[in-house]
Amino acid sequence: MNILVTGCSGFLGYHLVSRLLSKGNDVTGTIRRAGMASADSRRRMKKLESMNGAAKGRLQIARSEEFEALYNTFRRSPPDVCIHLAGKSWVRESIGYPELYEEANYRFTAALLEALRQTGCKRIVFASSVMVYGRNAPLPYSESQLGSAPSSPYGASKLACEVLVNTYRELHKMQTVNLRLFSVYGPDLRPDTVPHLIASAIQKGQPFTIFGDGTAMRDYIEVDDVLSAFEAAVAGTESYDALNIGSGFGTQLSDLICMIEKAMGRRVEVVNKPAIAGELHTAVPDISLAMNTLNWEPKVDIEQGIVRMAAWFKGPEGPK
Amino acid sequence: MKLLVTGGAGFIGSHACELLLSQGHFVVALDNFDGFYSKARKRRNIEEAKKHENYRLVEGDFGDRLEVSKLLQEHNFDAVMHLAAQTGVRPSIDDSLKYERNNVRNLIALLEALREHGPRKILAASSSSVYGNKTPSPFREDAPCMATCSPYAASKRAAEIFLATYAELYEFKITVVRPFTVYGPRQRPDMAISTFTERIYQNEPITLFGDGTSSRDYTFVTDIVAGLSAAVQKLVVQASSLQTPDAGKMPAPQSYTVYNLGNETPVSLSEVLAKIEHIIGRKAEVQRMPMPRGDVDRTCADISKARKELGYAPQIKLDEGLEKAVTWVRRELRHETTITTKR
Repeated sequence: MNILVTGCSGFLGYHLVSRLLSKGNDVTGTIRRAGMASADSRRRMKKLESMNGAAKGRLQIARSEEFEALYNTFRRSPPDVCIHLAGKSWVRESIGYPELYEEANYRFTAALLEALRQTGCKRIVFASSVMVYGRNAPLPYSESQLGSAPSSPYGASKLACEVLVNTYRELHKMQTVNLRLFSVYGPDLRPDTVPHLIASAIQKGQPFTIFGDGTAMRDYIEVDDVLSAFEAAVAGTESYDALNIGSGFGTQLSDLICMIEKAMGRRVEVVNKPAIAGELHTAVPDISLAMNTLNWEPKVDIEQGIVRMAAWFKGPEGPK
Repeated sequence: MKLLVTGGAGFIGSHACELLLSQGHFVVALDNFDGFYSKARKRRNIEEAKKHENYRLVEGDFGDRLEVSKLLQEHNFDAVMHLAAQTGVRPSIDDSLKYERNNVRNLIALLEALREHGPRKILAASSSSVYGNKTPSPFREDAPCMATCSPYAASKRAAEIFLATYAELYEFKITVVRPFTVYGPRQRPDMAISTFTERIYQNEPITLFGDGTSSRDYTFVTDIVAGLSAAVQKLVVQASSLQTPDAGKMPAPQSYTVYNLGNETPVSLSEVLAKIEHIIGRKAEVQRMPMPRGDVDRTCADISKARKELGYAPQIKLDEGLEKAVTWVRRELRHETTITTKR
């Protein structure tokens, strides 16, 4: 099976492609044009390319965001399934620059779907986000209760992509699944994520600022559990408008800090500031729909997951 | 009020400008006269409005941020009525990226210009197609609308989502209207009523897609623009009332609101054809084609929200509206024939 993974040099993409290759799948990966890639992304690409030959599956890379180039790549080697991870995902940046997020997320998805449709791809699994839920969505979040509008252009771009993915299912009979990912963490996670910021502050001996009283709650899901959700979604033949992918447990910020301190073996000085107006206090999902339909369940206990992340942080490949 | 109307030379846009002018407002119409259909026809659309002293026409693209910023700085608009769009369900299927560009990316450019220069008040036309095929009839504004049937509809839904986020995030006041199958004089030449009428007059066979049972909630254009006018006035008045000292006593107006503008009377395609045949007094020769992909089976608006909050009450019944639409198409045909003959 030829599996397309967009954004294969990102945090999630890297882990997913490694796993798919080691299990003997052929993978086509897309990354941004040369020169656009970050240092992290280049480092991950080197590692992935070194797996070629060693792993059972083969990896080929397409560098593009444009329809024509995507189409030409897919025509030469048509993907059976697409796992669409590519996109910009920094919520705060999106608030300053909405047009970047429309372009990198919505426009890219529109070009990708069209290229896939024209080259006969049957199944698409799209990485959506917890950020599609509006402020007043009832807790725990259930897929059909979105509440008011997404509170960031990032969230808006993801929700608009979900609609487009669903439209390709309605119009072109493609099989589609939208997975709404909660706070994903693990080795090599994105530097703008909260667990990374905490661990980084500990490593550098810097204070960590929390906004609010530390009771803010998120659902942190370990990357391995997310990978198994993607594998389950790829393997099926059903379509799903949206499935929440979280651990099923909420963790308060202060507890997360304690766990990371313990795993890193050092304490952090916490600076308290007032909560940011408009920032959500709690964002946790009901994951029963994903568990039932994908026959999937999250397995990693958060304390063990944090230990694994801290080991990467302290290890030779961790941030310096 | 002083308003910027994008797509001001289009079908709905030109009617909206005329109504707003007659109500004493100042209107700047922005239109790029794109070639989706005849530019000459769009020029004729604005002949009436151009006679008015409170009317300005600007040729340009609403997605051109520099051009729009200049306009916004030049005029102190109370609100923007955003009607420009890449329309057409069927052409969108094989040209989806054009719809992304014109209906989503350019909208973000417009919104960014408004975020920078104001006003942060916009009335935007969406489409009844956002309801797709899975929404129970009659369609209510609070339906989820998460699966549309065409790239056109998906682009209009994406636009709504970004608009709602702008209201949530940047203190915009935004009203979205979802017009249902608008018809009447100046209607677009790709609409069924236009093509049926033209072909019958020209003794050519018409193409009927599907078995004729697909139905639409046809809404006459003057009813639609009455709804638009009421909505934009409510938007401007309500938004400025926020700044009055006793605003605290009033219930907080919603920063993002959606209204259906329909007619609550779905009519089947074969029925519309029969009515047109009756008006013209001639039977059409019908060639049947399968229902094209992307088209929904049925549209029907629940208009109770617009009725209650805007005083929206559609006046024109289909028989009366069709008479006017058919008469207009006939006059256009003559007009175009005359031009051709002169050449």
